[in-house]
Formats: sequence, C-alpha cells, structure tokens
Amino acid sequence: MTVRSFLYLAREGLRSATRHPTLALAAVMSIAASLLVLAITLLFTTNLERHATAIEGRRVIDVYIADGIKLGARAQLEHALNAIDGVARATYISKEEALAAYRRDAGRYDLIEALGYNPLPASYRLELAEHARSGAKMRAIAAAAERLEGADDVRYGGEWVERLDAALLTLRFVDLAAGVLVGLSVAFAVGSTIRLTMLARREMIDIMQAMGATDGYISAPFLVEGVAQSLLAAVAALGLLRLVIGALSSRIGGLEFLGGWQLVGFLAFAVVLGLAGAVWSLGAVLRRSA
Amino acid sequence: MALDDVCLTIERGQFVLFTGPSGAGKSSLLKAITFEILPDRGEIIVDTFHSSTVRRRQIPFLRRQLGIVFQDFKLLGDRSIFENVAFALRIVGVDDPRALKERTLRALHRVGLYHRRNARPHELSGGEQQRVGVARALVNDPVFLLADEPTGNLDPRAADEIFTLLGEINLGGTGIVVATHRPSRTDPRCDCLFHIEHGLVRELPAPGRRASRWARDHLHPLDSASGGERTPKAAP
Repeated sequence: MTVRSFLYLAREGLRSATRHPTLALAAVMSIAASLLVLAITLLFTTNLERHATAIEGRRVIDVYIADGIKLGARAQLEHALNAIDGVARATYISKEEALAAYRRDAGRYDLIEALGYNPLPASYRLELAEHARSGAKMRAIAAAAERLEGADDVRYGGEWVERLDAALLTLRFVDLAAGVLVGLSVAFAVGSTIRLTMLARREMIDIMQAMGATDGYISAPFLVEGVAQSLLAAVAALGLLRLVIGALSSRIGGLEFLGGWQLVGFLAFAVVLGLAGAVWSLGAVLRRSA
Repeated sequence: MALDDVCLTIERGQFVLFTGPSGAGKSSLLKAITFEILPDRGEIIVDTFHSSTVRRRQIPFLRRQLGIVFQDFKLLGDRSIFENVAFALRIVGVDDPRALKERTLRALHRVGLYHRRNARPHELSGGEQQRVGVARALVNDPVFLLADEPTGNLDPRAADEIFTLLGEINLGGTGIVVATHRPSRTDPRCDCLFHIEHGLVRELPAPGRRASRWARDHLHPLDSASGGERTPKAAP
C-alpha cells in the first residue's frame, strides 16, 4: 500500500467518525471511562511505589560488635561482611558516633549521662545491593553476618520489611489484574463500536468486497478509527486525571502525576488496545461476510 | 435458492442472459461466479481461479476481473458521482490522481454521465444512478460485467436504456452476464440465454440479437413450457 493510499484510507476512517458523531462520542466516552480506571490504578501504584522505594533505600542491617574487639579482628570482620553476597558496603560506626546519632535522634541523653559511660556498642551498617533488599534475602544476610567472629548481634527489622514486601507484591498484582481487566474492557468497547460502525457501513463493505477490495484495504479505515478513538479516549482520561490531581495536590502532600515515559506507555497501551479491539471485531465481521 | 446439476460455459466477450422468476436461483448463480458462495459439489472455474482450490485472500483478485452492477445501485450517498466511480479504482490500488481522473471521466463518458460528475447520487434519476453503477463496474476494465437484476428498480424506459447501454459495452469486447426476471423489450446482443427455475438451468436458443425478442415473446410472462428449448449441457 502506497503512502497516498494509506492517507486516503486514514481520511476515510476519520470521515466515518464524523459521519456517525453520536456513535463515535459514545465509544470515546466508554473507552475513556475504562482507561480512567486504569490511569487511577497506575497513579496510585506509582505514588506508593515511589514511597516504597524511598523506604527500600533505608533497608540496612546493623551488625553490632563486641566491645574491646582488636583492630585486626575488626578489619577481618569488615572484610568478611563486605564479602557477603548482597552487601553493597559495610560502614563502621564507632561507639562515639553511635552516641552522637542517639543524641541527635532521641533528643535526650540524660539517661546515658547518668550512667557515666557510653553503653552503646560499635557496629557495622550494611547497605544492601538492590537485588538483596527483599525480606528473605535480608534474613539470609543477617544470618551470615551473625555467624561471623566478632559479630555480637544483628538487627534489621525483619518483620516490617517482609510485611512491606507482601504489601508491594499485592499491589503489583492488583495493578496487573486491573491492567488486564481494563485492557479487556477497552478492547471490547472498541470492538463493539467498530462492529456497530461496520453494520452502519454494511453497504459500503459489500461494495468494496464486490469490487475486489482485500480484507486489509477494507479494514484500514476501521483500524484508523479504532486507534483514533482509543487515543482520544486516553488523552481525555489523562487530562481529567491531571485536573483532579491538580486540585487534590494541595490537600494531599507528595501526590505526583504520571511521569513522561508512563504517559507514553499509557498512550501506546491505549493504541494497542484500540487495534486489538478493531482487529478482533473486523476478523469476525469480514469472515462472516466474504 | 440452491442450484443443482448446473453445467455451463461462458466465453469471453459473450452476452449471456439468465432469466427466471424471483427466487429461482439467478442471483445465487451470479454469486457463485464471484465466489461469494462456493458449491458444495462440483467446481466453478473463472479464468485461472478454481472454486475447489481458491484461497480466501485470492478471491478479491478474481473479483477485480468482474465488474458488478447491483439492482439497488449501491452508490455511496456521501460522495459525488465522480468519487463513486473513482472509489472502484482506489480499491484496486490506483492512487495516481491523473490516472484516477482520466479513467473515471472516461467511464462516466461511456455511460453518458460526464456532465453529472459532480452531482450526488440522490440528485440523479434511477436510470442515471444505474448508469453510474455501470460506470463504476466498467472503470477497472473488467473481462466480464455481471449485473443482477440491473433493471429491477427502473421503469421500462430506463430499463431499456440500461440494456441498450449493456449491449454497447458488449460490442466493445466486455462480456456481459445479466440475471433478470424481466427481459428487456429492446434488442441487446445476446449470445446465450439460460432459464433458471427451481434451481435448474436450461439453455434456450438465443441467436444473437434476436434472443431478447424471443425472450420477451416467450418468457414474459414466463412460460417454461414454450417451444424451442434445448436441454442444458451435461452435468458433471
């Protein structure tokens, strides 16, 4: 097919939408409603994931070391900690640094002052590689660290880490399920609309088939129409959501709209769904009417 | 209506008339020629296309060799006469504007509607609309022009004009296959005449231009018992 033919067919597709404006509008609105649900789910997940990532950055393991450890033994411990798979870096925190941090965080140190000595142990803070931030992996690293000579105690807040992991997994699953459900409903909406449009243009299709038009030629305007409707619906859904987020952001702090690549992905997804719906519908109608 | 035990050959350039009452199977026969319906048994061969082996995607290429004229014209009301005819060219991939214009205008000229090229279908009479249908079927220079009840929606005078036009087109070398329950009162050249009733096809004598007169006298009103009939060619 030449560019000129394609442009002609694209024009035919858009002309069809303007010829049946009520049908086209109803289709765009129903697709937009489905896509809006998807966009809201995506937005919710994105914001939650952003916060989760910030929390994940704070996933560290503290390895407390026994008081009075020799310098050589400490160096050996540090080397062994760095050698554990999943440990990105082991940072030494002296007793003094621990006390300073305690004072900074707690804001009160009279209790320690009253003791007359620094009871806080020195420790190594293990920063983890990205692949080692799951609860199970952290548990394994903590166990490995605990077995090392010179390690007195290991803390990493295992329970909340695993709870967070489970929550994120559930969220991603909900996201995927929403994506599949919305995808199907959009494809169905586009397919039904294309089917209605084809029925409205039954005579034209009969003429085209009688004159020797290939299925591809007959389908092209409908595909253009399906893609245009989905794209328009996606833009409408995103626009509406953007307005709502704009209004809510002053009340809900930290709420952000979708990023550039997400928007591109969302529009591409809508185009694919539009095409899928149109192809599904066209296949059924053309096979019946050959 | 199903057709049974049909065996006939249509040569290039022939003018063939199928007559018979409504529902006799005439339209089914034309649909079989365009492979819109395929036989349960036997075979239809059109040029190099065989109904038993043809693939679905090949059928459009067969139809490009056949121009089709419909009883109800089937013109697109949202575009001009010129665009209706050019549409048939675009379908087969002609997209050069100059070729489109030249061939479309030539086809409109052949049917005497060059001057109405910018009109919309609803602005034309029934006879004129059918002429547009003929121009659209002709514009791709088909080997055969198939017309299913082309005069079914026309008054007798307009019907005669269409048959005259089809005769003229046939003289130019294009084969014509017409299915009609009402043969024309005029005398188009007719090489073969077939009568279809209850799905059975009988070949009748059709000596050239006299055929339609014969058909008018003997088949209008239809009289299948009239003399001069021949049995059809042997069935497969």
